[in-house]
Amino acid sequence: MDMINEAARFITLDPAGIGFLFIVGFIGGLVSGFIGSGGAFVLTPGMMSLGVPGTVAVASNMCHKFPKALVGSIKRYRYGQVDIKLGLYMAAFAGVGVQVGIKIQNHILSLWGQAGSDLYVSLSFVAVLVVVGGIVMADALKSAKSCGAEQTCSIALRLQKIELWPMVSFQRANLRISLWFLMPVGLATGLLAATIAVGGFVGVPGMIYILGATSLVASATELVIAFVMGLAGSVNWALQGMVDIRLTLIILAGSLLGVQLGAIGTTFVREHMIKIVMGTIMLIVALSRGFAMPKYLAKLGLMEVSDATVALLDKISFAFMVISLLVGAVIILGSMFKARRPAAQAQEQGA
Amino acid sequence: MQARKKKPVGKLLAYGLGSVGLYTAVYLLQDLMMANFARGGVYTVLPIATVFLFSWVHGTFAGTLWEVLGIDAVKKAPAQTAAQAPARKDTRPRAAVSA
Repeated sequence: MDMINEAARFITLDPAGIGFLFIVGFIGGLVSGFIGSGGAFVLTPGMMSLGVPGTVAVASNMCHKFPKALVGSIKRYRYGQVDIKLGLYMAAFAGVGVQVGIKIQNHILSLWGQAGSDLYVSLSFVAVLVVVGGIVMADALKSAKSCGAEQTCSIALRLQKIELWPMVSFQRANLRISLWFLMPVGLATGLLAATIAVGGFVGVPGMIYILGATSLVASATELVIAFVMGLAGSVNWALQGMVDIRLTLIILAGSLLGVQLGAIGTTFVREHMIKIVMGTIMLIVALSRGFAMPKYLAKLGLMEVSDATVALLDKISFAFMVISLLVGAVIILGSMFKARRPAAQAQEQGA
Repeated sequence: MQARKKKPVGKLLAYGLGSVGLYTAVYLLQDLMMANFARGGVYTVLPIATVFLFSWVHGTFAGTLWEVLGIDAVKKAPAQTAAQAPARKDTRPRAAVSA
């Protein structure tokens, strides 16, 4: 392909655009370092609002995601929170899930066209995030009220008791479970990653409520999954020449600072805070996608909406995505600040 | 009295300079990079290797910066589940050989 045409895909960056990407990268990194995922979903629409073509935005976002996940997982591994074996098993099944997800997407695209595909993505977003986010939030509030240590979910305990060959043991996560229960969690993570690009919204709750890992281990292990899947996806996009390395490196500048702060934050706060942040973000993002649905329903002729309303709803939808990330960051930093003061006092008294 | 941990200011400066150097190089060589990094095929190695290099240099700088600012992990407790289901005993009858 002509190199001049290749370069035309890439936009000219101004200081405001650079600043925007750096800040969103930092906040996204902070959230990812803390809950394992979910920090990157604002970046793709954010880059597109700067004029970056959709595929380049997705490719450049993914190319920043895997090194961020690598740095975050190394940091959290040092705190004893990462189960590499569990992460690799999950990533292997998630890889298969991604392929299945792409097949479903293509099938829907051929049946109902782009608007149908977009509606399917938005419906999946809302359904999965409301159900899973609701469960995570309810559990987090229960844990916050009881003030006790995190208990393994009863469903996970029951599944762990079923001796269905082959059984797999995970030392760091301190659990032993049949591969037949791990497989659907991994597949669902990949399926969601291919559909809404944030597999962790199912992967982390799946590891907590189905496999029986703690939220600390689940969120840290999700970073391993994000690294493996992100690397494979980035190589794929780079082979097609879609990565704008400048965008990737600017986001990385902010996100490497954020992801390590988020990882440090997990050692400060009580474990249910991970669930609180995750549940809050998921429910606000679900609301955001709800605002995007009338547009696709109108395109399919199922609803009548004026262009001005669609434009307004698009803006509201994006604003809620940004708000979800900001609320998550505020909760993380606030809880870190609150937890840091008594810890610092205790250290001073001990010295 | 317990001695306070020495802050790695030298490491921060070294990796900070490295990070500034790398970002300056990207700024100065952006045209060359844009022309070659998005060619696909064997050129795929260029963006992938670049992000690994930046994660090492800028990632170490970022980690050291929080450490120097006094923001560090407060506990390194092993994160494990509170309870785990015991392995079920195999109660199936076994074939026994009596000689």
